[in-house]
Amino acid sequence: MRILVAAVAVVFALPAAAQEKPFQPVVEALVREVLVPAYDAFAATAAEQAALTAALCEAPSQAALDAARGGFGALIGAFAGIEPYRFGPAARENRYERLFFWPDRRGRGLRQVQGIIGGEDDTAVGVESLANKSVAVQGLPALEFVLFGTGSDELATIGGFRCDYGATIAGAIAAVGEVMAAEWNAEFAGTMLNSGPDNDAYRSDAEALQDILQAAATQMELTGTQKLAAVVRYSPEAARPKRAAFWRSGQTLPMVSANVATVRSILEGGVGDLLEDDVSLRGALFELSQIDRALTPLLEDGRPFVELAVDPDAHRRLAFAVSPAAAAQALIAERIQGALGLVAGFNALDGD
Amino acid sequence: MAGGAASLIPFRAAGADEALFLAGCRLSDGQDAAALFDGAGAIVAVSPIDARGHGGAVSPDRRVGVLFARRPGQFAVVFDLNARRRVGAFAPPAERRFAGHGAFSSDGRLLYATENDFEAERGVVGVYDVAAGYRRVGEFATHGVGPHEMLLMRDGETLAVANGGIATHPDFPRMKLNLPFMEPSLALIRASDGELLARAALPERLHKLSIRHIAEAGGAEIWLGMQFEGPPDERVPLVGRFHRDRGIVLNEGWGGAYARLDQYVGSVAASRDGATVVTTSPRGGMALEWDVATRRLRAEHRLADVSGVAAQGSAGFILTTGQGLIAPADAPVLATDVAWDNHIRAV
Repeated sequence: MRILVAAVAVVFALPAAAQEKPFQPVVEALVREVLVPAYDAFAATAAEQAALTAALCEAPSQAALDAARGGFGALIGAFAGIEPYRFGPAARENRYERLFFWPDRRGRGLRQVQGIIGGEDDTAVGVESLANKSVAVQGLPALEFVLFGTGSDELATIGGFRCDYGATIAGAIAAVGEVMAAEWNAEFAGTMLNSGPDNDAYRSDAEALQDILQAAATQMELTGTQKLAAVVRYSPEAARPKRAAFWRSGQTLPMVSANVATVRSILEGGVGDLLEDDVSLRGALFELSQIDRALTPLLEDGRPFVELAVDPDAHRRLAFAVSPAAAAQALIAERIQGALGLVAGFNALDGD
Repeated sequence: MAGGAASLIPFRAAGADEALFLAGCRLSDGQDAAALFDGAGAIVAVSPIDARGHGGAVSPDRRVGVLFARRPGQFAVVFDLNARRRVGAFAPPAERRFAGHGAFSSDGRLLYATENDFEAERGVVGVYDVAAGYRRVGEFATHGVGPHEMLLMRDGETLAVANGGIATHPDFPRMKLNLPFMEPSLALIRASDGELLARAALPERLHKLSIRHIAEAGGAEIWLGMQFEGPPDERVPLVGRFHRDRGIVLNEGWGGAYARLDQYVGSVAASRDGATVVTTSPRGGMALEWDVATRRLRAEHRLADVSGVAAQGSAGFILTTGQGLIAPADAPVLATDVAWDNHIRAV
């Protein structure tokens, strides 16, 4: 019996635009020149951070602590280079969340990290043992608390448990960075570049490009709504700076700025070659430059983020940056992807 | 509009089929709406709503239809199905959000809605008194996180709830806040007092397989349509069945078909004769037709952005797509200029 007899007669494929465009060279340029180098850079930076943290524990000093703290800023910058991509190796074994479980609305991470430090929980020392614990105690936010949170100044004089836990986290981050970079180089870059009916991840080059562009759009949405709007809210009095990612280490705004740079590198990675009219691409790049314009004086300000977020002048700048982030997201998700025939279906949204 | 629409045969006159269906949609001018259409696909009523609609519920006497807002939902609209017009709306309390689905009690006096208690990260069933203008008269636990679809089983006493396992919060619209900790489950709950009758979870290796959509078919079995939050190239079963005495059994062995669904089942429906279940995948653009007696995949149908599906006639189904198509069981496919939302509720 042909239950769905009427439907059988109707066969649709991707919109015509998506079939005709030569997506493959653009996917290849993005993968080889933007994504894989970003994973390589994160792996290298994470290895450096692991070495700096281990050195601090071996010979505690103010200089060693400053070096480890300085390295953390570089690590956040390198992470921002891979932050948009939740597909591929990052999606395996909860690696993304192991690195960056955020937003942590219920404070899962902080409470447990404090508990581990307070209770000197030995099972949190040693990368393999730590891997069996909650993802919220083995990533960048946990390492930030160890290096910058309450009590961290003692790391300059005493190694001890807190330092050993920090070195373990840094080692775990480096291990995740290494395996992701290795898988991208050995296998997943090839998966993205060789779409087809037998490829379980990508049936077409259009799907591969859609993943990358959608990642850029989603990053701008997350940066605008969660990293900025949810923190600055509607007035300096209402601002909640401690909701921000990495406020303890002063990396909140450098990370936003690095997010913008990453999205820019995606947009400048060859998509323009596919567009007959690049007005939406230029528009998105303009919006990114507006975010930079708003934030540059704050990046040079030097005050901690908790003070900046409640200062009226700085707050005005932070609030201003929300609009171009939303505009960039809309231009990428609707106009650019629309022009390329890469818009997700009406009913393809998450979880409905 | 979808390519190929010009070749479709025009719709038949309204009234050719007595059946009536309730669904959310987006009109061509971008306005979200609740709509009623007949069995030939002709739209007979449209009512603007403030945000995207999602799942519907129809009272046992078929006089009242309720359409819930898409999650996180802050309203539901009520229709007089005889007069074919909207007669009211109601909202969840401030500390709850509708999850998009619900069901009437067997006597039609209560409406049950899946809701998110977002501060506590737990699912609840909100209980609403129909005669009192949908006043909320109570709630009980769904015994899981992130409930989505719920149905009243044919025994008239048992609610089946799909606990998707994904925590969300209105402060972080639609972000998934607990993927590493997901524990999806299917719960059977006594409608009269909220007592948990049975609960089944998936094996640990499949803890990211979100159980979201359900339909009852054949011998009190609940068919499950799932969405996988793990890697896109990991092959997992996306369809399964739950029985109170047997727990969850996944429909294994159809990896080739699952590979075309992009890890996403959007809707599940059973035919009135109970012989067939259809699962749709809007991301994959596929509708799968399952034989209930043998639990085997009978056919795959390609249809872009297909999601809405409901029983039509004794053995068939009506399907809708986000691109505007309505595909009735035994009438020509109709192209409309509205985007149809995920679900259809047969009146």
